[in-house]
Amino acid sequence: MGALTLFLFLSVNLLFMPKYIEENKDGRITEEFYREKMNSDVLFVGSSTVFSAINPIVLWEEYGITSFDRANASQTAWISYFMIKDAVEVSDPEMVVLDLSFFRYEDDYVEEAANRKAIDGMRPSKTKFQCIQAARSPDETYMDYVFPIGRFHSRWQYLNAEDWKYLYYKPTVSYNGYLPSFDVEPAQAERKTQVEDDSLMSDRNALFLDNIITICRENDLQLLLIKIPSYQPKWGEIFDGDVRMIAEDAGVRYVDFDEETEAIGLDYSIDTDDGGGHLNDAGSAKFTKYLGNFLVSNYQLQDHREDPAYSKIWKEKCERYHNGE
Amino acid sequence: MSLISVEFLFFCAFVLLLYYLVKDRYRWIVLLLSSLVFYCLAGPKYVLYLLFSATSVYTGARLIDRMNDTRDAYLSEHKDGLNREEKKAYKASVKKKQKRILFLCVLANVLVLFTLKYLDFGIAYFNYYRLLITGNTNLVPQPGLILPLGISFYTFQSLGYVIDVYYGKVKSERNYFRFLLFISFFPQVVQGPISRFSALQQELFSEKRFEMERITSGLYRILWGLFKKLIIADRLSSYVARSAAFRMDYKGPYLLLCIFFYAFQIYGDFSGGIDVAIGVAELFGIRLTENFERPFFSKSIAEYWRRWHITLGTWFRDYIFYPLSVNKGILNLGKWCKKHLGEAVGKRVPVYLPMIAVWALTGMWHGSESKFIVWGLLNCTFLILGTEFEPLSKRIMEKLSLREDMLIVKLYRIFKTFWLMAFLRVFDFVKTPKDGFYLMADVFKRWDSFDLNEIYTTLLLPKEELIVALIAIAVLAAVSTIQRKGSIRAKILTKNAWIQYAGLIGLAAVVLIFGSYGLGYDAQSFIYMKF
Repeated sequence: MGALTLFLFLSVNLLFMPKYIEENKDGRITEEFYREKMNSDVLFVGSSTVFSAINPIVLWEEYGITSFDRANASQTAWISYFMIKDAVEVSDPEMVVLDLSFFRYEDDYVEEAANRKAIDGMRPSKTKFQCIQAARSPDETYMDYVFPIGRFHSRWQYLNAEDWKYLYYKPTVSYNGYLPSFDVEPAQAERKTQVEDDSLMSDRNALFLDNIITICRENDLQLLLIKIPSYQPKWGEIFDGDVRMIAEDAGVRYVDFDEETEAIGLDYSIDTDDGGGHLNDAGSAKFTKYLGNFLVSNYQLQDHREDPAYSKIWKEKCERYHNGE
Repeated sequence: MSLISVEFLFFCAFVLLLYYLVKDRYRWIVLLLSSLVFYCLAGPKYVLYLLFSATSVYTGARLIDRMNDTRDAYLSEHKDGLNREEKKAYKASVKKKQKRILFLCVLANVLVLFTLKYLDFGIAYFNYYRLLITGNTNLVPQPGLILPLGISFYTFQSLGYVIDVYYGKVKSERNYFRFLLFISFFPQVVQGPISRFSALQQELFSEKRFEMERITSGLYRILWGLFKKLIIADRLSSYVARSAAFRMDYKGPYLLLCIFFYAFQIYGDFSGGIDVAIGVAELFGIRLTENFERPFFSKSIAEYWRRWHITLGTWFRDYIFYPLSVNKGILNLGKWCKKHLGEAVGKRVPVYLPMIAVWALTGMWHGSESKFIVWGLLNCTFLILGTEFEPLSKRIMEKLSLREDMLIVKLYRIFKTFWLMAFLRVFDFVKTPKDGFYLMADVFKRWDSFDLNEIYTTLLLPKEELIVALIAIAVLAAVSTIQRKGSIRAKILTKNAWIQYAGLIGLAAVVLIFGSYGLGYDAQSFIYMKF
């Protein structure tokens, strides 16, 4: 009876948790990382800009780099830190590429939905508990993360066929964390620097950036800080200068790909799906090729295309992507 | 730590494990330590009030009992040396000393309770009237004292004990720590029931064995309490609070609905909490006194109050009403009235005066604001009216050829009692007595252009939520109806293990899914916890 009770309790928890299959697919990325059968050499960490701009399939096909986007919408610096910590505990990455786009965010908490999407999929571990502690707002409780039914039970009136269909099994929805968008919404407004709220990086973001640098050093991970290109918003000079100074002081390379839009070949009239905030699949392909070239030129990353174990798995991934499955 | 929390669930599971792991004679110590830990979690400094109450009452009771022993020994020793008058005088002198101890004990505890509960209220009134009369604008600052957890409950419980010892109804407990457990037992310290030492002593300290049936029964009781609290009370609370706050924006029918909902909110909240307390105690093999007996089936106000918050009612009856009724001053006043104002008045004074006192105190017990005293006195007024009009009511029934046992008569009386009590409850959730009367009056106004389709937008209670609330109320009514023929739990416990298990899991799932708790809901604390 004890085992049955546990099974039923877990089932109820699973039933009420949002599935993120048809919509809000980024909620699945965290969990899908654990499905990887082979190691990912490069981890791309950051917010929505990462999972919409960096396509691991392109990196594989062009350079034989194995990678994964450990990113979620509005993923804060502290969650990024715990994503790296967690990844180091379960896998053996060679390099971390951290996008600082969301480090401009100044509040100590993001909205609960963003926390849940990033954290709910994490495997139960001490790191997950630490992540909850760092990320939760004063209104959120540990117990709600440990037993999601406490948070999601009010969904009883919104349960639909998707909730039952994907109760125990959820298909993979991302391409190693990448979520392509095929929509096009050209950038309309004139590109302006956000000067009105320009400031230094917040203490909390700076602290966790420092933690990320430390954890990468401790685990012999190569670290590259980047700013993924976007038409809007554009950082102000103070923040931009602060980021460069932090990177320089820490002895970590920082590349602002915003400055290389032309070299990348980005055209914000066709390469974005939201007027310049995020890249669409076409824009992502251009940027990923450029980034891949940068990585293989500057870092020692192995080309796994000749390795049958890797190529077999990645062939399936590529087919899935190209078939739009 | 709230009784409705995952933390409490884990706390209980841990204590339960420990309780059944240790030898029987140490089990009460596990309960005592757990109770103190539980109390400390609400604020370590507040445990001092609890200890003060325990120490003063324990010492007082022991002194009173020892005097009895000394008296008996003295009288037995001087059996032949003292005449009847001397024995009587000696007994009277002992009783006088005991009375002084009892008085000091009661005074000290009541003083603490009054200071914590009513000082701010008293100062506010003092400031108000001083300003009104003298125009003095210098306000006396209110200390803003915080009420320790369950102080009204454990103070009444301990005072009941020392009074019982004084009247020789129970022997005093020799072991201080056992007595401390009696007043601090964690499931009941938050909001009762107010137990009697004679009943709880046996339960706390008798031999216990682990019995699965008792655990199952306790779990059922806990889940039923959670059903009432989380599915009914907390779901309705936000609507009731809103309609009281924005009374002017609500049409009559909505205010009526608000009054209806509040009756179930307060019942679900309080009786649900008591169910949890009784259920948790049952896990430890301890039976607590019942505090509710399907009050909404009462056919009169007097019956309602015999079925609602039973332990408080009996406490007031035994320790306030009865002593006042036989008080020499009141009896003399009754005689005086009989002589000067007639037999009818003289007969009523010794009954009604203590009643008024009891109801004023009951009102005060519920809260420090004047609205509670108004509420108490209104209850008393209706009780007196009920008694006074009983002969007339009987005559009318005779004329209409109606009998007490007729279904229509019973239903009418249940309906009348329910609504009367529901209307009086308005004072619980309004700010001032005046607001209460206005709200009641508003119920009968503004019935024009009432559109039922507006209900969801007006209530700000989504259709689905309202349906769940109404179904849950219907389930509560159905269960209460079935309970008149006996305990449903007892029946389930006679079935095989799988049926018991299925029922338990089903009830747990319903509570887990449909309960109003967590971030998505504005769950309330127990209303009675603050008393």
